Amino acid sequence: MRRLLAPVDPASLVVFRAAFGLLMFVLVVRYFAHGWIDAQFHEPSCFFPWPGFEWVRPWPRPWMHVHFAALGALALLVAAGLCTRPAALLFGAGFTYVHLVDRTNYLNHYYLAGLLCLLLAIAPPCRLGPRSAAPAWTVWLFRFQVGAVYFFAGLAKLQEDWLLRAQPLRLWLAHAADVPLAGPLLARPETAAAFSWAGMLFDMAVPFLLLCRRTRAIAFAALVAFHAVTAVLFPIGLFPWIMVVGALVFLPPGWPRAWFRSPVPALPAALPPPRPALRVLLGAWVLLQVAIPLRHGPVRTEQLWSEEGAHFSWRIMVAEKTGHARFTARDRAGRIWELRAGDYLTPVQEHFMAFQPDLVRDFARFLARDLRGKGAGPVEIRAEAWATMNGRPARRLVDLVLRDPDFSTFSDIAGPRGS
Amino acid sequence: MIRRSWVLVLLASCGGGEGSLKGAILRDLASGVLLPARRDFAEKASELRRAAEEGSPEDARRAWAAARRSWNLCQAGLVGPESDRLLDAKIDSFPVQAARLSDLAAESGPLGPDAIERLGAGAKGLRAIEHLVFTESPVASRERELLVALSRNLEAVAVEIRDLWEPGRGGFAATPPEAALDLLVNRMVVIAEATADLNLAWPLGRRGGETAPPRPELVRSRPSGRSREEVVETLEGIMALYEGPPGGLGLSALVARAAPDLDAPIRESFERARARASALPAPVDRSIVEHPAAVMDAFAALKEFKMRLATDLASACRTTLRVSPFDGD
Repeated sequence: MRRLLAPVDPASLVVFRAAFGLLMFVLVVRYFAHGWIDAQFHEPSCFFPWPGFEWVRPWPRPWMHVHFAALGALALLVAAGLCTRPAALLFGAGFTYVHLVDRTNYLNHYYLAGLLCLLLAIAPPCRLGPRSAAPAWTVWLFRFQVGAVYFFAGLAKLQEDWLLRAQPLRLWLAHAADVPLAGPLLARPETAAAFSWAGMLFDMAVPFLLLCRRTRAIAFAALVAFHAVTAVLFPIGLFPWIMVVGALVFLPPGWPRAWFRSPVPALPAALPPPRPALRVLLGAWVLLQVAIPLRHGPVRTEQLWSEEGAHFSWRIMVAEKTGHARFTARDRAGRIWELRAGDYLTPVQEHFMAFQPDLVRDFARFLARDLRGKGAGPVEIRAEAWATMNGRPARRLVDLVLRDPDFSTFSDIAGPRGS
Repeated sequence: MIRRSWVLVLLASCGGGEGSLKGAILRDLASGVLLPARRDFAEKASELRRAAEEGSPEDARRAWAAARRSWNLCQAGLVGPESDRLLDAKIDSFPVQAARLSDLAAESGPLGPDAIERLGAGAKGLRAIEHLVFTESPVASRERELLVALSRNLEAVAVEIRDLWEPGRGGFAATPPEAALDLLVNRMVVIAEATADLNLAWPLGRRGGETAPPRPELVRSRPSGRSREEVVETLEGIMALYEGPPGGLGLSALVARAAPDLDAPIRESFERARARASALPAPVDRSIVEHPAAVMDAFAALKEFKMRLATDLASACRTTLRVSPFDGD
């Protein structure tokens, strides 16, 4: 406990905060540059809100653009260290709101960004100065959060598909043959197998190797190389760079001063301990961040198939799924007609919906309500979805009938190896 | 948005993927499947024109059947400039405007290239010619003149399509192989679905699952009695892209590398669909009335094949499906 309360040089946290703020600004800029604001919030006529957040809706035009512009400004404030805590809190809340609108927009690194923002809002503000200091627990809090991502990502790789079938890496690396020089080697199945095992070992070990003084330098270099490779090979946006920036907190707290050869501050003998409420909050945070990824036990192939516990668990890049869903409506006269998901959903929404059983069900409910709203009278919606996962032949994922007026569902979910 | 017209290159020049599997697949498909298919169709269209000009009605029927088969084999690969320029609609449009053709045969107006070009898609192309040679048996001079004019128009369009694909013609820009693969896989899925729905389910009265009396008038290639062959040949055109040319690479090479377990289900579902369609006891217009269960079997097999393409093939090719086969109504 004394180690956690000890004052440390805040320089590494300051650099982390500035780099993270800039990355969040880049993230916002990407939303504008790629047209994602319209594509994700204005084009769909159906959204997939998170349970309990069905009331969350995107702002009408042009306010989503204004919302993102405000997020960009807040990110810059975080980067500059101006009003850091309220800015981080508002950015985190605003960014979380954006992702509560639609589950198909979920990405692990967006979730991580939200968590880091909240931690920045909780932690005492860090500034550089001759007498500045930060309690060591703040550094350890960020280390814990970033380390948890790696560790649980490694834990999620302890399953048959990843270790024995080298999937989905084999699927993905087969498309890396265009990479100059290394392409043909990358596309070999043996490479996928080697990468799978190396990736698992790396994820599980790197937080601990970063904590150990003797292995820290080599671990950090490996981490940067690892994320650089994944950034080149896979379309995973800012994820690699967020992780590299996050890993900066594992370096000695005063590393930026050593790097820039600036004077080391005189640290106070002690800092006031966090208030009891904050201690409870931090304890709960740590417990939740351990419990949530473990809530469904060890990752099994069946879980990847059914998407059970897929979110907030750091199951990063462990499943490649492609689905195909078909919806038909039947009225009381017995007339049956097909409903095209593409009439309501964007291609991205349709892609993600088709392999997630709960989204298929939600969309069936949406269709039933939509048809009733259009005066179609009582209708019955049938949803059938097939999906392939990690190179396994496609199997039936969902076959349900949704009956008006209570929209009760009868579903039949087959396993990944078929019935 | 990626313009489909640039895909060709992708296929024809494909400079971006030199040495890569995707690049090799696209080059082989372009040079070994797509271009030869268009050359063959242009050749068959010329033979049809010659038969219309100089041959007997029986010659015209035979030549039409050969051209139709050739076009069916092209269908799955229509991702190039011919689609952007709507040239494929000039060749294959359904239903036929039979009344318009009768009017043209009865009128005395000019039937030159410009007049034919101005006709709607339903009054020209393969199906209009089929209507004339199989339904009308054009022996009267005016009908024969119309047949020749339509055949010349078809030949001109076929040659235009072929030329768009010839190496060094068309000035195609480079397209990333990923975009080309996306278009090809999407097209294969669309054609599989359209063939199942338009050629089997809708004539059977099963539109979107609805059960209604059979509608023989919706059967394609009905006048020629080649409705069953149209289904089978279209499926073979899809599979040609999957398998690639003899000695060359097709999409199956990518499946074999990325997810070999997916290859057998795709091939098996194709064989099942082809076998069920080939085994229809009679042309589709008779089967939907006399053997509806067999048509439903074939339809189910085609749907399963389409599902394999939309999931297994799309996954192995990392394709995002985004195309619907036709507008809803």
